Amino acid sequence: MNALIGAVAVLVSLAASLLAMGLLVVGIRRHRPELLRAGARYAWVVLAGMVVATFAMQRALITRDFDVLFVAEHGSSRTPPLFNVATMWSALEGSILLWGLVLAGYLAVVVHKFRRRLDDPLVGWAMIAMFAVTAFFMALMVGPADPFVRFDAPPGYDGPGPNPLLQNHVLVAFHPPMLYLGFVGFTVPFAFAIAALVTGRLGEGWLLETRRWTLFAWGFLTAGIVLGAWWAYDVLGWGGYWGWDPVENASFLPWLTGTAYLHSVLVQERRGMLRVWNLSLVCATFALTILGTFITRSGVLASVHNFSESSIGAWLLGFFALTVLVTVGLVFWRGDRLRSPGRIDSPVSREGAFLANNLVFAALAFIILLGTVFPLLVEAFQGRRISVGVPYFERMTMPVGMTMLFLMAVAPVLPWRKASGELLQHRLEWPAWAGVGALVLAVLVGARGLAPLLGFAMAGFAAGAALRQLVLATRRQGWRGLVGRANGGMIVHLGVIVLAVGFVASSAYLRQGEFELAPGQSARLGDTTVEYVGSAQISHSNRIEDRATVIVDGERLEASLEQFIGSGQVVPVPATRSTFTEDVQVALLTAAETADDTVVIRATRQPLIAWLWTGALVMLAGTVLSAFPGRRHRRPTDPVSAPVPVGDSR
Amino acid sequence: MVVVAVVALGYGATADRGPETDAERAAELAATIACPQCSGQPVSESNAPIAEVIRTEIKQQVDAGLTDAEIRAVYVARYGEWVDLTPSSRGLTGVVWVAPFLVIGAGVGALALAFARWRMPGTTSRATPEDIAIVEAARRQAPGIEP
Amino acid sequence: MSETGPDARAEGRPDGAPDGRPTAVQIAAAVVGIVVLGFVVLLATRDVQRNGPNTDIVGQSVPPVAGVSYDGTRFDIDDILRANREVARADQTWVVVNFFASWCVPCRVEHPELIRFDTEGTSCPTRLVGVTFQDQAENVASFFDELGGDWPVLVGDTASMVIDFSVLTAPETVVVAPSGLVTAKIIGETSYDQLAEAVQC
Repeated sequence: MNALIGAVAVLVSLAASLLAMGLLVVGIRRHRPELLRAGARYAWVVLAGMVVATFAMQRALITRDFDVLFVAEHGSSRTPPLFNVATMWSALEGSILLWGLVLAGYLAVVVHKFRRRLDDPLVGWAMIAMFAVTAFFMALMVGPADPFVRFDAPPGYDGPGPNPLLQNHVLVAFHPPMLYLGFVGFTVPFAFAIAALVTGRLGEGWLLETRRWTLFAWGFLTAGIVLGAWWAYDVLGWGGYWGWDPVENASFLPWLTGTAYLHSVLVQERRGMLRVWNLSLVCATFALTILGTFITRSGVLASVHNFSESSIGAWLLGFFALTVLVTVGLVFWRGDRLRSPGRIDSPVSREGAFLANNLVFAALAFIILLGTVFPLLVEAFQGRRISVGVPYFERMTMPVGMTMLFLMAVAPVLPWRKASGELLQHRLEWPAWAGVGALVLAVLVGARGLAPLLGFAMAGFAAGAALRQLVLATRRQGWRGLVGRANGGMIVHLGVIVLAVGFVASSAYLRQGEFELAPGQSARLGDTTVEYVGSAQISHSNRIEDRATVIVDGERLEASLEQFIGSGQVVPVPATRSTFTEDVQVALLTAAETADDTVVIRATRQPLIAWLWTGALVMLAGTVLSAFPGRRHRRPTDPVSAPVPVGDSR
Repeated sequence: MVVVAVVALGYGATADRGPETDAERAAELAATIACPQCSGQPVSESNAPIAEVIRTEIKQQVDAGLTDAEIRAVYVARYGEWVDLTPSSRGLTGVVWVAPFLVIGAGVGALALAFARWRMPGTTSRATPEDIAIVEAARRQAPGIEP
Repeated sequence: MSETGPDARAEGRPDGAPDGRPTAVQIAAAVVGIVVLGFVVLLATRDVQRNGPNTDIVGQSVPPVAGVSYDGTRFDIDDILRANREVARADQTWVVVNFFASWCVPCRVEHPELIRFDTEGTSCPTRLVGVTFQDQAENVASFFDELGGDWPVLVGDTASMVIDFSVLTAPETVVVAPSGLVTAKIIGETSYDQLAEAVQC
């Protein structure tokens, strides 16, 4: 039953998106605005189909309807309720369904937002692009990633449940949806970029109008990435949260290009320049989300995250190629119209800083992309297998990160057009002292090493600059000095800086030890005491837990090894004592077999881990604040973009 | 200010980098060798039995006084080049180290060229009334930004 | 709203080069398109990466296998190889090195086969020796108590042997000819027939 409902709903969505595309194309060709409006409304049908399909899947999961193959393969009657819901995105077919749902949601919101401007061919083309992307994902669900394949469950059948790593932490329920809200959100600016290229109306502010969509998608992506890091930190028990794994990199790449776009689009807004570049960044961001999904799902790159591999890879790769070719083709075709007017007077100016920022982000994206796919290149040319791992990424990204922090310090105080030396000196004095202060403080609390110290100094410098802007703005405007694009942006900067400090400190000063302890014994890691108290075995519905009680600096922690019924896989569940300055994580490596048996415990001590999560929260708060306009803005498209009359439009 | 910064940095960077104990060296090495049974994780971050074996062995090799390069060479010889997570800087592999610098260099070059072209005589270098209007508009839009 | 936006100014300008030569943007687009296409071809032609077992040791001379068994007896493969040099070819001993662990399920499965190999032997003289892979002497002792078999099993620090033989996980079995040359490496559980076939004198 559920399988049937779901399959029909997916088909309805597919049909609706194809139909909508047809109507929109005809409407634009024949100048029939009523067709444009009618076509766009099919977005609601697509959304309805996806909602029904998701409900069918959730119902199947909740009622353990093993007639659905997906439920039979990934569900289980033992999975606790929350993870049962999250089972949908623990494997390929369900996550494509989630993707489809989110995409349909964005589609409907776009139609709603632009409901008064649906007869504009540019909006029409944007809708066509969005429906095309939607149709592709619906086709995936009809073809290679069908979530509603039937299964003849033998009586008494029970599934294995989702991968154990995906059912022992609450963040699993939130990390993928956030990531998808981010990934999929980039479809909107992409669609408008394509539409601007097709209609040739590149000078208008359409791209600017999608900036806020990009900002939302960017915020979700940020949240998704950080939640993923947090999950890894809490679950894996190595004190690690970012491993430069291909899949992690794949989610980071669109974040980088998206961030670059959010900055450089301001230059277009102020100076009308960088049109091609901004278009390219938007399209690249979208294409990279598809490439990232391909890397995650195809298994061509060895990754910890290859939870499922399938034939869907070829489809995604084909779609990636299509996306890039369409974009590049359109840019080529419109090349004559893309010539940027205007000029930049001085490299030492706000625009200059944005250009430098873009260069830095592009360089970072290039380094990460190159490092990620380089093993494939070498394999293709020389047939040998190599790895590009953490040492490479750390060494190469470190100087780029420093440059980024430096730019974050200098750029906000630069005026547009041109800056004089004295002005810079005057405005940077305060931030520079903040940088020196941070450096001295770091040395005083015992931080050593050239690279981390430089990092702290740069962070202080950048934080000083951001704070200076915020202080000046609030002095002038009161609480409004915290909202709006520029001020919210400064808060995002502060968040990035806090996160960067946490990143540098926690990776530079990690200390780890493995200890074999009998009950009552204790070990020392630096000035941290780890005392093993005793063990207990607990049976849960889906797993058996060996739990060791450990006292870390006076705090009782319980670290476990959990053996999952069904797969038999053993997963450690570490416990963490977290303070604002330092985290100590204990993971149980070998459980005790008898009450007075010894256990093996790994203790990891890292400073400033909490700063990572705090920084991310500040970033998100800044994103929300910058989405609220400081005061009512006119639409970037208003003055020049009265709907081009299409037939009898008004 | 510069003096304070340089002194602090100099002191922090040189003064007691911390005695690099054998255990720390072993841990650092373990982070640069891939677990041969896993997908891309270093042996320092894997629960696979072979990763534990290799961690044990690295500790002994460090105690026995082998250099980092010698230790890495052992695992490369036994399990293949790919267990070394640091790509070699020789041969084709070296491209991965060099290419980013070339690309960044090209980017800087392109920017410099663009600025040089913008600076060329013949184009107006003074603000036109239009430009002033734009700046005014921008200022009115986002008062947080100083002129 | 009387101000002229930057875009309006841009619109007022005649865009583009009418002379038909490709603009820088067009050239860049073409280059990007070609590079990405190449990249896609590269990705499309790659197989899924898997960690294949490493059998490079086959054809090389055997690394040291020596240590103390769980029952306290000493074992050194060199003793056998040295003895081999002093006897006739037909009397030379083949050595089978079995990497195993009491926690590994396939090891349990193959154990009866190993017992058969150890007791029945083949047409030529053979010795079976076990090497533990991440295991403790007492676990090995109870494993053999339970399932039988009494060949030496080296315990304690076996890490260097595991690595010398490029072992990934238990069980893996290596066949060493009397000359000291490794002639076969069996990944996963083995069987009497497989071993008997590998030992050919």
